[in-house]
Amino acid sequence: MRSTDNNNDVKSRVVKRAASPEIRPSRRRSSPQSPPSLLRQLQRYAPVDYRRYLRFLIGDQHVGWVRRDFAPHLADFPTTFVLNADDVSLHPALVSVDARSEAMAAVLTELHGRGLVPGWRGELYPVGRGFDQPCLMRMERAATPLFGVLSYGVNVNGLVRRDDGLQVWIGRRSPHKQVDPNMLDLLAGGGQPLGISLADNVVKECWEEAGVPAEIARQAQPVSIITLQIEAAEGLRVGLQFNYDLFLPRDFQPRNTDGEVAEFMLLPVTAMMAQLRTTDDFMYDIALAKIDLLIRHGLIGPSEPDYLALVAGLRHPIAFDPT
Amino acid sequence: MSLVDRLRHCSLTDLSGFRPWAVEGREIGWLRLDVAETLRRFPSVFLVTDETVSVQPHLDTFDYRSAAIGEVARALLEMGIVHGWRSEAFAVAAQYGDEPLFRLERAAVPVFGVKAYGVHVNGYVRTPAGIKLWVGRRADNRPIEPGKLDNIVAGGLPYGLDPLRNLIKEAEEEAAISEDVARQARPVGAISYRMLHEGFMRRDTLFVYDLELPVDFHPANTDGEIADFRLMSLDEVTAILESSEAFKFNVAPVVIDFLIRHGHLTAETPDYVELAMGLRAP
Repeated sequence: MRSTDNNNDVKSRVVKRAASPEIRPSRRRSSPQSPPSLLRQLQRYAPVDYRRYLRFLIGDQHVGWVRRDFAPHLADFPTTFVLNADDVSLHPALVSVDARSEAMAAVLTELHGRGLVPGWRGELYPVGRGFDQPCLMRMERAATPLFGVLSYGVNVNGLVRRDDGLQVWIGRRSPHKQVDPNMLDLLAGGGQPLGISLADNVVKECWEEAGVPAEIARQAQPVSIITLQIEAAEGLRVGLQFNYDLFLPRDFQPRNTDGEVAEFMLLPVTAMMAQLRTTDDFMYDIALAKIDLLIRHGLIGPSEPDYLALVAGLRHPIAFDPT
Repeated sequence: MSLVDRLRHCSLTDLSGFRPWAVEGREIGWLRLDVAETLRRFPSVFLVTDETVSVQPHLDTFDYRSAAIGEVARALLEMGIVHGWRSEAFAVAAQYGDEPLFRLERAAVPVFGVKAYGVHVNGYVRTPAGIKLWVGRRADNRPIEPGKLDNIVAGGLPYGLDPLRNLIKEAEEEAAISEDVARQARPVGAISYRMLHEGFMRRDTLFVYDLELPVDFHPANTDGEIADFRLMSLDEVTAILESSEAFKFNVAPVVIDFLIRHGHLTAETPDYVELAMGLRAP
């Protein structure tokens, strides 16, 4: 227990029946030695101002948010969207998943032609209220931030146990990547499209991004999830990402096969932590996944400044309206 | 019954039966409405309105507040609102790590609905058949949740003790784990919940640790709080959690968090996302 320095302030009033009178308050100090808070990573984006958005509804289900200044573009498609003062909903005539998906695809193709859906991926994502909730519609991946719908991804921490401590494989993204070029990334990871299980996606991304053979990649263990809700350049990103830890043989050298990673580095986990404390070199969601790693592996503990804020900040509930 | 019921049991979302109270303008706890009304009898200590309760501003130091609120707690004990008296002081602060605003007898913590902290340790061994978890059974004479299954080491965090020091003390008392071994416990996160418990609002944050133990280690209780210890496979632990309330209410979420972090539960597990989100009450 830290000693107190304010006993002199205590007035001479008799303190009756106070339990444990030897106990005095300690004062929280941020000493010059205390390291910069990891909270910096969680504060890279301002909290989302949802007043700038219309709720996006399918039927009576709240599944996303559309920026108010984007909504006028949707008004051009009155058989697909119904615009109200505070929400935009899919036209009630669109009752099946297929009908909704086809109508949305036609709209997005048109908007893409107008240059409003940058970075077309040709990958379909499910739209719904949660990972184990029904898929209400399929949607082109590049459009998910325009509608603020929940998208999923997998993150694979590539780890090596050495006598001198845990080491982490870090990738540097190719300068040609559409999103976050040159930023630091993890061993492997990616979005979670329809039609593939999380475990198979882990194996696929491990091979494509880092050349990890399937028999090793299958040993990746699911360990946690993180959520994010940020206003990024491409729109409102609402994400839920599944984190995996993969322990690799010491002599394994990852090699990128799809041109998305410029280089891989093996860093002591302490060096990675120092970088997270002082730089924004990691992609935002990867920084969250790495803080989660630091927490789970005991690299930081209750004496870390803002420990509970970090623990809570990695998994904010997605703010959909209750059903 | 399912795993997720164990988490939902520790979650109170309807706050309509409670009134917030504050010290120096900072929200510090939640009082059941009848308790809030009772505090009108102590106007030199509490200012009670229909919406809020606040500590009178003349109580402007830690010691003044501790003494005055302590007297009210004594009075509530005599009225039968506070049950028991453990002579153990908890520090009360708006947030963990903030300067404490007063100290409060442990038995009065739920009545005042203030945050309390604890330390829980998952003691486990690695075997060729996978990870096994040491599970204790609480003695039948425990005031809270007698006979329920518990972590190998768990305890409230008394004021002034840091979590690791408390862990070392409890490890010795509850499981005869030496300080050398206890120091190898790794912090792995925290869970926090707000729940209705025996009519009051409990707001606990548990610092969670994992402690890998030697295969030949056998815990032994020295303070009479644990009746016996058993080493269980994670499948057995999961089956008990899914089908019963045999685990103490706040141990179940700690163990579910362990099952998540060690990859024993996967995305195919029903309610995986809700289980992995865990308990994160404000």
